[in-house]
Amino acid sequence: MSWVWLLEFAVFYLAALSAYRVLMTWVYSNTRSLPLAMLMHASYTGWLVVMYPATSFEQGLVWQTSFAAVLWITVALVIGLYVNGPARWAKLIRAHLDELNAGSVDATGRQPSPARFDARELEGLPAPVQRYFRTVLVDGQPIIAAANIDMTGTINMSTTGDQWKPFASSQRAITRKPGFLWNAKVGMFPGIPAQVEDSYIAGHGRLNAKLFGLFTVADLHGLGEIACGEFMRYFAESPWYPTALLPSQGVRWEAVDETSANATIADGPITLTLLFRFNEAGFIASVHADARGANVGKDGVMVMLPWECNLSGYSPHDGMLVPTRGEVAWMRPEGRKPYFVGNVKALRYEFLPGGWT
Amino acid sequence: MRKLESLAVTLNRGLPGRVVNPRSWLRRRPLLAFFGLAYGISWGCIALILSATGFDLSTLRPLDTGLIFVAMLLGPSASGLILTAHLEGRAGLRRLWLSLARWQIEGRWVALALLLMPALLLAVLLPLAVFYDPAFAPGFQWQLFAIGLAAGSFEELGWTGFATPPCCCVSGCSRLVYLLAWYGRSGMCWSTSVRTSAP
Repeated sequence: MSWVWLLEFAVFYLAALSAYRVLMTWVYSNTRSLPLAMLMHASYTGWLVVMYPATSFEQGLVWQTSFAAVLWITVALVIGLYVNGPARWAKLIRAHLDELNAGSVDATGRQPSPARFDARELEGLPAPVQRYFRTVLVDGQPIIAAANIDMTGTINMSTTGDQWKPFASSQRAITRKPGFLWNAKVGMFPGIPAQVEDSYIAGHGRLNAKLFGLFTVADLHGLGEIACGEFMRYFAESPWYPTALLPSQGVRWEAVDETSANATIADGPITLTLLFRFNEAGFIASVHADARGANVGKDGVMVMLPWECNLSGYSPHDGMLVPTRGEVAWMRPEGRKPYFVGNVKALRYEFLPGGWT
Repeated sequence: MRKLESLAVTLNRGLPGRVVNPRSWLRRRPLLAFFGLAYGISWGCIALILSATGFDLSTLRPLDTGLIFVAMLLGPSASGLILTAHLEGRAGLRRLWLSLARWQIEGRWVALALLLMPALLLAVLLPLAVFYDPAFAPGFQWQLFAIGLAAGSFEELGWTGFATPPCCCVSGCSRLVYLLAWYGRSGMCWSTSVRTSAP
């Protein structure tokens, strides 16, 4: 009879408890909460004795074996979805970040850049543009080579309705060879995250979204409209790296009226002109594009729609004034339709060599 | 502890090689010390209780099972507290106390901690009860949940409060050894259930 006890020991205690300990350790590694570990342990022991069925010994072995199997299947799902998925996604992002950074180093064809902002280069610019630069920059400000932006906010995942989901993102933008990579984790449903990459790297645009970092739900990449749209995002977000808007960085400004000006930038075959509107304080309040590619409708057909990025909450960072809040919207025939609201949580800058003395 | 240190010095006196200092050894091998102490306390107490019955499991009384349950809780919790106090002093105990009061956790994790177990149990037991034998139906003896609360509250002071963080830091063979060491707890649980499920 002793081997039967060994079997019960192996199935119910070794197999089941080990699987549950793996789950507990996973929860603890995500929460670092001792009370939660206590609660999870209490839940295991408590529910087990509460629900313990009045079965025979042999029947007990049947359900205990099934229960251990279900626990290990749960462990396999957790490892597959919540450990392997993010790991694979992180590897993909690292590879794309390497491409982005390589572009920053290998910025051939770009005009030489001064290491610092010289206020004399503002001469001849439209009045609101001059006022903006004098408001957000000080003479001698080092030129930004890269900006790292951490954000949280909400994003509307529906192209037609309202499905606002929370997100947390980290973004890196480089300025010598224009490019950025926005890496976001969007909470699609409780416990079901989607990893999203929006990027413009070496002239290529990419919008890639995967559930759990594994299952593709959107994958647009290449040149053409997608590249143009992503480059547009890079340009519209320039107030977060304001030295990239200087004429010495390749931006051409043209007056429109007392509170707005057109800015033009080129990268390879793509040339963009966006309308920058300035508020009374001298800051950039919004950036407007007459046409940007949007996926509208369930058929996923891309149509061109007016697009707008509103910026607010300017605060000092590394000697500059930059926005801390952004709201992005499509200007549809039926009205303005915001789809992104983000708040900056952290900003880290890298400057051109020689920028700091 | 000073007595232990002087004992170690005495034992090593006259012997070639370096003097073993218990305090520095504990700092180098906290996990080994924890598992040794936890299982030493628990299994030592369990062995004492079983010895009173001549190691005849069929003669265990409910009181004996209750004492074995207490011994099971005492090992990890006491070891965690003792080693935290010894290695980190008052600051360590204060850290442990503060971590117990940290209840700002996202709701989804609390829901997972509370509901995963009943969901999995029901997923196994209900189909068996419906399609195989009604005996598999869950018992729902709610008053027994107190056992779970006691086990979770005391044991995790040691398992998670002390052992899990450094366990996540070790690598290679050491991690495997410590992973296997968790199985010792299975044995303690098993020992408490022997009487109730023995034919």
